[in-house]
Amino acid sequence: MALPITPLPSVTLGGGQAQKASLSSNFGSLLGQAVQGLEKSQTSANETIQQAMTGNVSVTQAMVAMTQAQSALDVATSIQNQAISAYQNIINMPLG
Amino acid sequence: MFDGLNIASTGMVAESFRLSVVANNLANADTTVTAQGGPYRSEYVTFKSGPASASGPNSGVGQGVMVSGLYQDQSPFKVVYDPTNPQANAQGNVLYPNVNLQTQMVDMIEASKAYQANVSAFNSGKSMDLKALTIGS
Repeated sequence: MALPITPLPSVTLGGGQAQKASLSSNFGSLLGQAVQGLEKSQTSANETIQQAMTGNVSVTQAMVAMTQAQSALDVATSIQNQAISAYQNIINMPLG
Repeated sequence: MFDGLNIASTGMVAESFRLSVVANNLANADTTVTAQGGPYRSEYVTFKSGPASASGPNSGVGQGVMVSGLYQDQSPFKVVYDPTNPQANAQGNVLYPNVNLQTQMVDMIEASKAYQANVSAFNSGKSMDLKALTIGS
């Protein structure tokens, strides 16, 4: 009595590739949003400093805007350092 | 991104506004003529809480404080008998502002301490944010 043999479905890389693509686009958009937020906070800090100098906003608001811009820059730098360190880990991987 | 910093900064802005009002009251403590007529009336501010954020990691937490109004103290003016003063009325009385120096000084100390508390909260929030960047390294 022979068991019915059913062929295995062929292996495709479609699923893996799709997942990889969505991952990279997520990371890219995340990075893009971070950079946009960084630009926005820097611009807003610049405008607030100008307004503080012309007397439209208080010193408090100028310092707050500057601190926030600096913190946003710190966050972006930290993320970039992590990303570069991950990239270097991969690029230094011994092959063969 | 920086909810804690924003909330603390609303407190700082509100308290510095309050301090400005106190300074204006003290500056006008002897002002007998104003644009509205009559002596200067002492002013005070009222605060209201900001709306809570509906989404994000801090949803449900109020977003700081804002100034809801600037009111005039309706208590009676000080009456000083000084017939030689050009502002004196028929009875020789001069009306002086109802600015109470003791109240203003206490208000000023309160505003100053509250501002410092908000600066402390701001600095704590900033150092927590910076500490978060060292997670995993």
